[in-house]
Amino acid sequence: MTSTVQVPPQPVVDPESKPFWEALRDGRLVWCRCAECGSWQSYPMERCRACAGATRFVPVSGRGVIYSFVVVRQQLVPGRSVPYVMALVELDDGERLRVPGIINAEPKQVAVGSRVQFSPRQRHDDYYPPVEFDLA
Amino acid sequence: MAVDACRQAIEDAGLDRDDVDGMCTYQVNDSAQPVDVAWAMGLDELAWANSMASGGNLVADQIQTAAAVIEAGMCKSVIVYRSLNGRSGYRLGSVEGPMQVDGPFQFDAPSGFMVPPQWFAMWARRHQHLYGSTSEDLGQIATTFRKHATANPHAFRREPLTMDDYLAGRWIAEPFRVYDCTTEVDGAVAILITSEAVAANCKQPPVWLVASENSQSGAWWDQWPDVSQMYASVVGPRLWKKSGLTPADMDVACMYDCFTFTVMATMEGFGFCEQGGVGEFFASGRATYGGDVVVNPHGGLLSEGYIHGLNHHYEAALQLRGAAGSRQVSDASLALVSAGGCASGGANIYSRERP
Repeated sequence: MTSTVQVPPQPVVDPESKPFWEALRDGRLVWCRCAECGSWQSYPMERCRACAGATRFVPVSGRGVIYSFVVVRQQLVPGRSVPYVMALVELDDGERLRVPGIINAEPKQVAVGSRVQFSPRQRHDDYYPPVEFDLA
Repeated sequence: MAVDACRQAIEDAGLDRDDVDGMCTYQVNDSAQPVDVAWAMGLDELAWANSMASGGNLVADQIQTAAAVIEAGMCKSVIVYRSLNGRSGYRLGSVEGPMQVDGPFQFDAPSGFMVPPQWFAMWARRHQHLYGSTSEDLGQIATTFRKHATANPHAFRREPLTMDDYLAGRWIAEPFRVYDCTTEVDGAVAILITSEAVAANCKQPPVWLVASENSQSGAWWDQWPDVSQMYASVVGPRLWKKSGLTPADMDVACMYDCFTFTVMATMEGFGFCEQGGVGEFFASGRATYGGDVVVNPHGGLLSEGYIHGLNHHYEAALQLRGAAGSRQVSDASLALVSAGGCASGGANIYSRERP
């Protein structure tokens, strides 16, 4: 790592979450879905929580609506300076398919219900970036 | 601190340490384990020693479980305690060196979205969107509890807090200001639970556990259907049905208040008022002395301090014994004590009279 000061907190990547993080580092958003009944999984799981079928990671559109958001105003960790907007986004791809991520916009521009689009910004070989969205 | 609190609980009850043969606690940060606390108290062994890893969602359940352990004949008396160096030791949100997060919370690590005030603020924003609740509504909760805390010598924060002070507080994670967040303290609480037969010979009049209802979920911070509502909307109806009581029967409500919004969502969930009505409920004096129910007469976690919600049970016991001094709720006979956040938590009803 080039500078520990700039590195954001990192996930402890496990076998279930690894495909998500590898795709994200490559600028793609994928989510875990049951190959049999089609249910989206809230968190990556080896077996579907609805039908126990096998799951796989599939690409999602990355388009959605802000379900709720906060403006982080107290610096907590390295990697991003405050203020910034952190939101829970409901993707168009499935009912209640919620993906948390940073909204790259001025806080005043952001509202519950705003439409957003997945928009990867940070690329780094050494660490995993956050999920990021732009206002659509 | 844990040992001191346990010794005081035993002395208060007029029992001997050998009368206690079970201990349990819960923790998400620092803690003292039951066997270590028992050993330090001079007990060579316990018939039951339980330590659960989780937070406020477990508090009501711990006391209910202790009661069940006694009813099952596993123990004579059980102490539920919580002890933490919440101020001088481990502080939630403190970061030293490179940080790594595993499990379900790993997905938010690179965003720096990883501590409770951020999650609770996210749910509060959704509530504001759905019901039009405001900063002032949250401020009513914070200022009411602070007013109560002025009469509590145990309270960490006793200086007056006006609405203007609240609104001028620095932002933490908008819509939360600093006064929406609990006060971290070092402290310990111990609650002694025993059978009716033992209680009959104790020094203090007993406080009776009438009913307990709990709900524990793996939905973490973002996966239950409506984040503007918490566990209370599930637990509340079950608790009232089980007990045959209603919110209107409660004289005291010690509502878990890690954040102001926790009180808002759970007051709604337990049916004290409609969604969006909590700010007005507090503003019109219904949550304080002379109103419908005195909510957090000790000042709550917000002003008394964060002993992880077990201090709420201590306060309920004082109120129901008539031992709360200048903050005594007159003729208090029934108390609701809640704890939890998100989709996980529970509540107990305590009574002065034998149910």
